[in-house]
Parts: sequence; structure tokens; C-alpha cells
Amino acid sequence: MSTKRISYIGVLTSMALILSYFERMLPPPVPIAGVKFGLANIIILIALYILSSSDAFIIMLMKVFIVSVLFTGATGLLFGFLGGTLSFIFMYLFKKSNLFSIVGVSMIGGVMFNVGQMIASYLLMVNISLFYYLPVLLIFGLASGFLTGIVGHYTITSLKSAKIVAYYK
Amino acid sequence: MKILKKCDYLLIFIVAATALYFNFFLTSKLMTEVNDGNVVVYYKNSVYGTYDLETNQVITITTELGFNEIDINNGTVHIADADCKDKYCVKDKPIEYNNQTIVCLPHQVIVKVENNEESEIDSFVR
Repeated sequence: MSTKRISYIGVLTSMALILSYFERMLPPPVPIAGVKFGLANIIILIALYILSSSDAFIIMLMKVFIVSVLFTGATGLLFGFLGGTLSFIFMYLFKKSNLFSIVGVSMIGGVMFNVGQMIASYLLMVNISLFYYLPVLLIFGLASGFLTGIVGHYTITSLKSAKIVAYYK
Repeated sequence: MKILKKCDYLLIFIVAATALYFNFFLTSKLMTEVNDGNVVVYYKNSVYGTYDLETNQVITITTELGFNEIDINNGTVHIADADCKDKYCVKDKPIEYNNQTIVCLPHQVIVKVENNEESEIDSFVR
């Protein structure tokens, strides 16, 4: 592991943590547990595009783990882990397929994050009525994924034009 | 500035269609008017208690995770107070139709309106 790689992972992880913290200070957009803006997803998205996929996965895991230690506790770990992993797998596959732009990748990430949260709450309390929230969660994941995708697009464009990301690609 | 690709629009369409389908499916098939309904409170996947929907009453559910104060008023149910930290359940809209729920995740409490007699379509869906 080169020093450069370690510092990239470290910087992006801390940015993801800051965004998670900032997000917790904002009022929830819809009064449903699990609906969030998903600001930290911007960082995972950028990491996926400027670093290797395994590094982006490491960042996602560290973010989920540290956020659960700092704020949410053991339940948060289950929620974050399921949501994070599911959304990461889908973002990775969608990016790999080359059919989707960064916005599309981000949108499937947002949607799958919410689906993962749904599955986590289903595991915690087996009750099919929880799926009432699914339509709201899907639409909201789509919308927030769209916005984070736009942010990610412009961030990566300017990072590239400033020649900051001459790291892996 | 052309960021979106064709497949992105397809993705938006598919997800929106799925959401609409679920919304329609759930509201039309599961949520029906109740006559002679009950308010069933679940705690950790088992029934905590069953209360009459028509009687105006305030029930306090106290578990080791905290309390939820459930207010049944003129056939609608809402959670008046709770000591969970996010209080999503208190902010939730009142429920009155069959199979509607209010969920308090931190306390693992689910409040659900259920018909006394299962109508045919519900038992079919289940």
C-alpha cells in the first residue's frame, strides 16, 4: 500500500464522515426512519470513479463502521452495512456496464441504499407492512441519487481539469 | 452540458414505475376501510396488546426500550408521545385504514389497524 493510496483513502473517508455528521444536523426530509439525503454517498461515488473499486469499498466500510461507533450504535451498523454494501454492489455493476452516466450510477446507489435499509428493518422486525414505505423510499432515493450524481459529475470534472487525480487513472 | 445517457432515463422510468406500482398495489389491495377494527400493537415481532379502535383511549406502551403513548381518537390512531430520540412515530400521520401502520424503529414497536374479520381479498394477498 503506497503512502499516496493511504492518504487518498484517509482524506475521502474523513470527508464522508464530515458529510454524515453534517447530514445529521439537517432536519429529516420525510418523517420516515431511513430516509436521508445520502450526502456521504457523494464521496463513495467520487472514490469509485477516481480510485480503484476496492479502495472505494474500503472507504464505504470504514465510513459505515465509524459512523456507527460515533453516532448510531449497533442497529446503525446493521442498517448502514446492508444499505451501503447493496448500494455499492449496484453502483459498481452499473459503472462496470458502461451504459450509465455517473448520475445513473449515483441514482441506483441511492435507491439501493434505501432498499438495503428496508431489508435491515425487515430483518429487525418481520412485518410486511414496513413495505408501505417502499414507494417513498424508492422515489426519494432516486431524487437524492440524481442530485449527488450531479454534484459528483462536476466535482470529478474539476478534479480532472486541475490534474489532481492522476492517481489510478 | 449533457450528463445523462439514454439508460439513465430508462432507470428513472423503471424505478418510478416500480414505486407507482407498489403504491397502487399496496393502497388498493391492502388498505381498506375498517368496520369494527382493532388497534394491534406489536413489540419485537409479537403481539403486545389489542385495543378497540372505536373506543377513545390513551394507551402507554412501556418496554425496556422506552415508552410510546398511543392515542386512539374517533377511529384514528396516532402516537402522542414517546421517548425515542428521533420521534418519527410522533410526527407520523394518524392512521385509520386497515393494515396501516406506525412504526417506532428504536423501540421496535409497530402499531397497526386491523379488521376484526379478515375480508377475502386480504387473506388472499397474504
